[in-house]
Amino acid sequence: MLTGKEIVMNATAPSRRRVLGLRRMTWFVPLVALAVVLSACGGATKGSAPLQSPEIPWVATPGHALQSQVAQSASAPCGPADLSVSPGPPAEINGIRVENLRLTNVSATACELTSPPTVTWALPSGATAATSLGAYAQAMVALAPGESATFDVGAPATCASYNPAAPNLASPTSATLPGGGTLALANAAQLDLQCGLPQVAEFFADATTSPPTSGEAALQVAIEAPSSMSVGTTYQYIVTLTNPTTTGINLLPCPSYTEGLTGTSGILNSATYVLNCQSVGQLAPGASATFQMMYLVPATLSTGPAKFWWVIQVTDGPSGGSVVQVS
Amino acid sequence: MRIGSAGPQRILLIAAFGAVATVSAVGPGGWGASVRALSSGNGTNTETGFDRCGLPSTSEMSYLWANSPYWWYGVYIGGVTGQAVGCTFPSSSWLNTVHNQGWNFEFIWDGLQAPNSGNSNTFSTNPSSAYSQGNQQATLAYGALLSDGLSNNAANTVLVDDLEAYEHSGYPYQSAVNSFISGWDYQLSLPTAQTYGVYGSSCGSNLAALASSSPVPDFIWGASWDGNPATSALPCVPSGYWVDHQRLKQYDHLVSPYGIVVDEDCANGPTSPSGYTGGAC
Repeated sequence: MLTGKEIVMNATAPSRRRVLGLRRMTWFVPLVALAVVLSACGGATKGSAPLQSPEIPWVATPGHALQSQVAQSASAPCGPADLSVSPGPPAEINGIRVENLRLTNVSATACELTSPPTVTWALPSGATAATSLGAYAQAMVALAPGESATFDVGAPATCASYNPAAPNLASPTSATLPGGGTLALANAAQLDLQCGLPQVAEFFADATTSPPTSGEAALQVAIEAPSSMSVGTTYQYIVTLTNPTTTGINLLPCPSYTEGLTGTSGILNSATYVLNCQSVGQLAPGASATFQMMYLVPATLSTGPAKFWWVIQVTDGPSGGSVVQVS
Repeated sequence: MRIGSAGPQRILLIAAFGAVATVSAVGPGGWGASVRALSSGNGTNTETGFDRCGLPSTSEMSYLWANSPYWWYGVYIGGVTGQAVGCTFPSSSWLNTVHNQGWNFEFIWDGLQAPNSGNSNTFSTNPSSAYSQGNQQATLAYGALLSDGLSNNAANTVLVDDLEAYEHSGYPYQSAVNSFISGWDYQLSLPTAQTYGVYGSSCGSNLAALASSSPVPDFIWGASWDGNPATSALPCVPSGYWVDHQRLKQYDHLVSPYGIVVDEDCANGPTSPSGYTGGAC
């Protein structure tokens, strides 16, 4: 029954620590096993009644992670008829004097831009200059109907030889879309190219910045985890889920969650389990549920600072995190 | 003179374990009505971060916490220039959600720029007027911090003025630039004081010249896209300036693990509401 792994608690927690003192928890493994057995016996109740126990025990039920949340290319390329262009006021960012353009998907279907449009400029000399995409050549934007993207093109604002009285103004002639076709830029302003050639300064989807307001994605996560961890050791920590909305949030069937550590080189370790939420069922408006969690720091993990995280495996899953020193 | 001096009515978060904040009270009414406040204050940070004009979604930030090397985020909270280029500014709930994911912040005000520099939103060439405009910009930025829900009147919270490149041969308005930054610094030094900094091109914004402004910026955030994260390597800034955990460096501009282009930064200076000194970028 015993795994032989030593379980310890955080040594730096202040007074808000709830249940467990600063001592090694060699008794905790059998306790976890008991929790597994009790859960399997069907002692859970559904409904939105307030929780009587301050913390819901951890159960080691393997879960399933969602596919990567990195934006995937799945839509048709945006064509000229899909997009409207509205110019904004000029400004400067990262030393680049830019013309701000907003591209809006005015079609009825989603589309994507696998890179920014390539704007061509007519120079006073009669020559033309194409806009350098730079790092943005790999930037992709997916637009659902009605969604927009910010697209800033510009040129260096200043340089040693800059002379405000002698601008070298270029006019946009066309913007070629990565999927083919061109956009008209009739209302776009001129660029002063005396300090450099045109380049992309920003290209991003105008993200929805309001957090979700319904379903599991709306849950707020608070995590209380140790600030230091030792390799080869299992730690208990606390996750509290709060429903900040005005309607109940149904947790059934219980979602999976993933916990892990990330270092400067990427994810160091992660594990996915099913949240032991049968006893919660539905979380009432304003209510919270507190869960015990367990995390085993692999013995082979590299030491040093790391980011600890916990995320519910639903679309736009809420998450919590902290910083730990692994030794 | 300062807005919000009476302080908003908010319930403070209880810092439970180190930098992790726990929501102590949440009322019904959805995110917008939740009673929450991001802690004020700052701490030295020695980790990699990123900044981006376009505010990532909370899902993107969650993904980046787990999948990127970034520990803090430079977030634009307002200004006249940033709005023009499409920067989106955070809400109180966004900041709280993202901070609970583990992130700390560098708060950026993208306000008036140096005159005769190719910008349209500029402060005065007259040093006295520029000083007053620095006061005004600081007051507006401070108000934005309060609107974003910082607790304790945003005491000791970092606030950075984005001073884009202006330097060119024979630039005649350096005294106005220094006056503007002096006005910015002074206004933010008033109770409840913030920790004030300036972002700019290491050379093009002539950060070294700001050492003669009064008060001197608490810290600088220099941009030099040389791929070298070392904050000691800021071109045009003497090595003896801003040496006591008073430097950040924007050293790269690339596609992040999430597929979005970001500016990559290294800190050896303050972030809010706290920092982390366990590593070095």
